[in-house]
Amino acid sequence: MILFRRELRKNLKPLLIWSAALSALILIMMSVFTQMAKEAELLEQLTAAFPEGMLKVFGMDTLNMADVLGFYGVEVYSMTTLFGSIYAAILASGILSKEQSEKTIEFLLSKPVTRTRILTEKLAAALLYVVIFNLVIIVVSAISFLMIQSQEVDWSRFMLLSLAQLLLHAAFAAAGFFLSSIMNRSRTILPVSLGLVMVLYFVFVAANLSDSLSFLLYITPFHYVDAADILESGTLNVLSVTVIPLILLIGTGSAYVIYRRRDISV
Amino acid sequence: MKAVDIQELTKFYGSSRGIQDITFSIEEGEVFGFIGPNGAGKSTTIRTLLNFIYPTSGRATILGKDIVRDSVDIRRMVGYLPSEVHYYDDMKAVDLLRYSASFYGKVDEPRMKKLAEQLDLDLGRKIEKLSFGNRKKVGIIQAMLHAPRLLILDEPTGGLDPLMQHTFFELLEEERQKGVTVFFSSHILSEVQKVCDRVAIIKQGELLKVESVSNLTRSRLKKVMITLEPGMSDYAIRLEGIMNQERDGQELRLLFNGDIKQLLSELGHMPLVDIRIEEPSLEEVFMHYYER
Repeated sequence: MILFRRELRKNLKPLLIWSAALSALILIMMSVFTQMAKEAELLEQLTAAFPEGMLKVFGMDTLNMADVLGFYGVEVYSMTTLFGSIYAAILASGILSKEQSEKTIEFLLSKPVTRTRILTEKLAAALLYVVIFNLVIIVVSAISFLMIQSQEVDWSRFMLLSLAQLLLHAAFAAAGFFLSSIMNRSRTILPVSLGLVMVLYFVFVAANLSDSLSFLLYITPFHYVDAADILESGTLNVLSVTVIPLILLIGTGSAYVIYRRRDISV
Repeated sequence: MKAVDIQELTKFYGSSRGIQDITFSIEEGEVFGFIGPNGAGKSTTIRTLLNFIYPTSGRATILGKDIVRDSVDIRRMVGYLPSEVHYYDDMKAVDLLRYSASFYGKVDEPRMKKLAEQLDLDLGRKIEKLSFGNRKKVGIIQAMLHAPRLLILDEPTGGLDPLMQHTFFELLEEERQKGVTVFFSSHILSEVQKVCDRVAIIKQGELLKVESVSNLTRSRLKKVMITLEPGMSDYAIRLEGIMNQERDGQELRLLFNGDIKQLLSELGHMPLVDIRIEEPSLEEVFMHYYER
């Protein structure tokens, strides 16, 4: 538990900053909704002003912007999934690779700890923070819904969205963790894992925009947590609930296999 | 039981050589020097012993435990001081030492304070604000605090001023008297000569020789310095056992490893005005192995 506690302390500040930033984002966007809901026409005009492709990307062609969750899915969820993935990737890739880049890994490895224990305690700390971060998003979102008294919110659909989002963030944490377990040049890990999130998000956007690229949807995890699909169907589809946990398992599993066997030099 | 027992240990990084076929052992309670120029493979050997890196072939045990299979058991009994000390910048010296000690169990606060006092280290300072030498002191305390049975020190004196080096050697002597084994890697031969019982000499990844320090320095190897008569500066001496012959104006310097009687009779009819015969320093002994 020594390493686990140390990582919790070390990564607390970024968690607070990211949580505060996204909470502010949620509250601001949802207060915009409150304003707009008063003038339903305005919302329709807003929707009509977007080009068709953009509507598709953000699910505005299927989601009802006048509905709380519809608006939430387009304006908030799309942001929290992206920024949360960035946070998760930065957190999980740094938690291991910082020991390497700051050359403290030689100190740590000379202590009586197995590499398995190092990985487990660090991964546990990263995942716990991803969960806490998601709880903050859920609680703040729920508060913002409660402040909107004009509409009832479909809480079960909201929880589905939140679950999907948590899975997505955890998957990017696993990917970042995996990258930092295999890469020797520790300084490149952060840009690589950030790039991974951005590229996959870009692929998601592009594949939504163009029908000829739509086959690419299957390679990006953002597709599996698409708000439009979830809110429309009221379920997570089978692929979503299998692919993302699979990424999680494979990412962390191979991190263990590789990190335990490789040479670690500073 | 040997403190360290290395058998044909080999480490390649891809196709480039780290160390090759290293075999030697260290007795418990011994202070053992490991010398060689930079890049000879000293740190590679140590990193393999601590299982930071995996051996390509060969095997080794520390205090009876296998370096790969029982690495965690080994690290519980070993204190390691790396040649370059890198710690967490957000910590104070005292935080780092407590963090380090927590991996072994309870923190021995009195011992920590005593060591800090002996080394004249302010434990309340942030590590990032510490000078290179002061970081090294943190490293030394970190290696000794949990009272290990084996100390592995990689270039321990680098960054310490002469006064601190003296204190450090006193600390080592205290440890030795408690029966602690010391594995002392260095490229500075005089300090190895000062504290070690035996030395292993490594060059380009291969072990050249393991020898007791007293044997090395008190072998028949002699340093002979002859001042020749004026005008005789091109005089050369030919004798079996001359390892090295250097000329500097009137002065002729020899490393001699042959029959001392033959040398004396040869000297008898040499045109010399002065002569000195000395024990060679380990440095010179080492250079001699190094050149061969």
